[in-house]
Amino acid sequence: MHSTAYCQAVEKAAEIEVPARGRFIRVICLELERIQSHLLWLGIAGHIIGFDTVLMQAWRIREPVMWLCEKITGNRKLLGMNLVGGVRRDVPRGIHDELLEVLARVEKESTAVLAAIAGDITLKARCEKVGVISPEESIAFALLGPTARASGISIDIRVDHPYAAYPELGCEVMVEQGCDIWSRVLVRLRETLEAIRLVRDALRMMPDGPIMADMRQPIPPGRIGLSSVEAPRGETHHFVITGEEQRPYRWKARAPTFQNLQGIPVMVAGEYIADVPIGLGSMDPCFSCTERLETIDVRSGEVRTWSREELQALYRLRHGLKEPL
Amino acid sequence: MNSYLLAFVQILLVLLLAPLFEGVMRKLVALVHSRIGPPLHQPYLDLLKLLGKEELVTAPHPLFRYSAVLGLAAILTTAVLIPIGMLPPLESAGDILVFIYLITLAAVMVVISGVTSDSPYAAIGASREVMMLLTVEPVILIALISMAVKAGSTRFGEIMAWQAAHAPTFSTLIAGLTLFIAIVAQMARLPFDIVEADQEIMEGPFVEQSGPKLALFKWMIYAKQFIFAAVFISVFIPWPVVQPAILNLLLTLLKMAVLLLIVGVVHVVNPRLRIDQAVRFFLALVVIEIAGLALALVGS
Amino acid sequence: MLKSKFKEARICFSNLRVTLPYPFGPGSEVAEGFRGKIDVDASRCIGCGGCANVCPSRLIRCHDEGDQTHMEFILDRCTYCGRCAEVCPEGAITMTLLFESATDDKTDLYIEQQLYMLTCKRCGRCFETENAIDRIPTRRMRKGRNYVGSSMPHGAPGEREAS
Repeated sequence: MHSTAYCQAVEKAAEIEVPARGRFIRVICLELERIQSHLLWLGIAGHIIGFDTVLMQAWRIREPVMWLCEKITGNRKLLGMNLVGGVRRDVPRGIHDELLEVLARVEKESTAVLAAIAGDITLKARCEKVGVISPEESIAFALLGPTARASGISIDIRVDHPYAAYPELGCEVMVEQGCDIWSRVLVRLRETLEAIRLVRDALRMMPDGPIMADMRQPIPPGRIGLSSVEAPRGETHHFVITGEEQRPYRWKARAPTFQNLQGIPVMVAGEYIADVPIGLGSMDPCFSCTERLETIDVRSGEVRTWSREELQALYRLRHGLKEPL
Repeated sequence: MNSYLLAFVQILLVLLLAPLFEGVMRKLVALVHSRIGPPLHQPYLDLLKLLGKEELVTAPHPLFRYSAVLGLAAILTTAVLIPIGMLPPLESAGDILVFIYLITLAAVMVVISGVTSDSPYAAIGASREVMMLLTVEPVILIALISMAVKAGSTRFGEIMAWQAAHAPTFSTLIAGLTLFIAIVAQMARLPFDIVEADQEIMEGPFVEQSGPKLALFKWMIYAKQFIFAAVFISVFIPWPVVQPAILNLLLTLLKMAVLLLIVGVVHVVNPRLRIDQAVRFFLALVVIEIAGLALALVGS
Repeated sequence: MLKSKFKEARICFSNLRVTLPYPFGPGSEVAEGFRGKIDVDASRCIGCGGCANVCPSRLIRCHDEGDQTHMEFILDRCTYCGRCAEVCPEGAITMTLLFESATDDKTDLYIEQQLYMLTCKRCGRCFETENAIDRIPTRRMRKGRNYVGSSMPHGAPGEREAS
């Protein structure tokens, strides 16, 4: 996701056009990542409420997807397919049948899981009417991704600002009106099935041709590029200013989780302690993407954001270090 | 003399076989999870490992350290009062009411461990254990009392004999089903796994226990599982009664294993309920059981 | 509700025991094209430093010592991205299918090469001639050792000398 966003930002800055086959391969990798992420999340959410069976079975269903990634890109998780200008590896037509077969298996099992948990009363007792955040609050807190789509807000970068091969493929936005954790489960499962459909269509509709643009011209410095990508958790934006010697001068990545976390106090206010972990988990937080530390002084109400140097100085103070690390 | 020897044997049986049944349940859970799972003797290895570890005493209260010992002692005392396929060894020492007292004592020891730890997680776990105690114990009590009313005595041996001689009736069915659900809660199995082993509150009352005391608490949980299975089978499914006592014991152990497998199946297909949902559920069960008790009183 | 529990149980019971007892038994096969540990062939390397240029973890060092180019790969932070293999003009770097690189001896993850090169008569720096005939004597004297510690568990590429 992030590599696609960065490459697209630089390509926009340098006005490089990625050939069609490269764009379709990018969509395949993005959607495979989405399937992986949602199935992992389903397992984690099940584990948080104690339902370890959902954890094990969802991760078992996820294994063929990892195999697909390994077959296409060479690694189960660290796909490493994107380069500025296109992708590194091709998906030769010879392996398409194998890929489609594995995809069909994943689709069958995901549909079976969705059908099985749809009527589960004990699961719904933990998930329905819990972690509720209304559409107005979603808009007020600017929530993103499946968290917002479960409250009825239809936002999806793949449809609003299409990139890669999405203009050719089209994408259906899955929206639920329930505003609770159960709706988020449904949104993510339905997005998984839509992602499988997208991969299948991309494999079928992929045109022949080069996978990489002609990169012999150097990338001009001082250009600005902004690119947005629909990550499994929401919108990811990358902003790049190109610099000298083919390196970026400035690069800022904004991941969706920090923004989604702002909705947590509303979600869990007045609920039981047992609902806090699952409420937090239903947003699918990626804590490593929240790159700021804010402290709030309860007495004075002052909010302070810590900079990198301040955090490092704090660490040195705590551990009695004199020298910088 | 003979009954004291039998009592000793029964205590040893509970102590040594309880981790084996836990191992069997873990294997079943692993099977449903599509994985190989730990070997059957894994709980023994876990207990041995914990017994050899350093104990970190993090709270100053003396009961923090002794709650584990007292809890296990309470459960092992019940071991001499309950029938496991044969008459309870020290039947004259206690009946079903003493059994309930001892079970409650063990639960109170869990609460004490939670309350004396200095951790907020443990305090939440202790409060949950109290709420479960207050709603699950009445279910067990009324179920056993229904059987006592029908048998005309509160002694385990006589209830067993009466059950073996008479066919099950409506009130037996109600008492049995509700006791089964209460047992799932007492064994800390999903969907009532609310008190300990929580992803929400990090092991609850046991979060500060370590080393040998944690081993004793775990052993207490495994032994509780064994004891409740034994009580359920002996009181509600005593048939068939085969004659050499040792064979009856083995048959009872087999029936207990089957019961634990059924509990295991219930365990794997359910998420954890919230404490308020569980409390409401058990209060509803109490109401149903009072109806069952009424049926038992009128002789049905 | 019981129906959904049965459906869940059916999903579970129709897939028993999918886990493998790795590492106490064989693991699953990796797909071909898997990006595993790199294998460097000293007889093909021309010391161009293209791999050092693209390595995102900056693990490859290339410097001249007299009439030899020394190349050092310290692969403790290798991300197995495969860029070095992709840009190598001579195909000296290939990616194997091996992925077990956990070790307690860091020298297990070193690759080093001493490449005998021609030197410029004016500034003394090493260079590789394009003339194939001039290359013959230098190629004979290129040495490389992969994963020198060699305490890796299975099938680490061993020592190799150019011949």
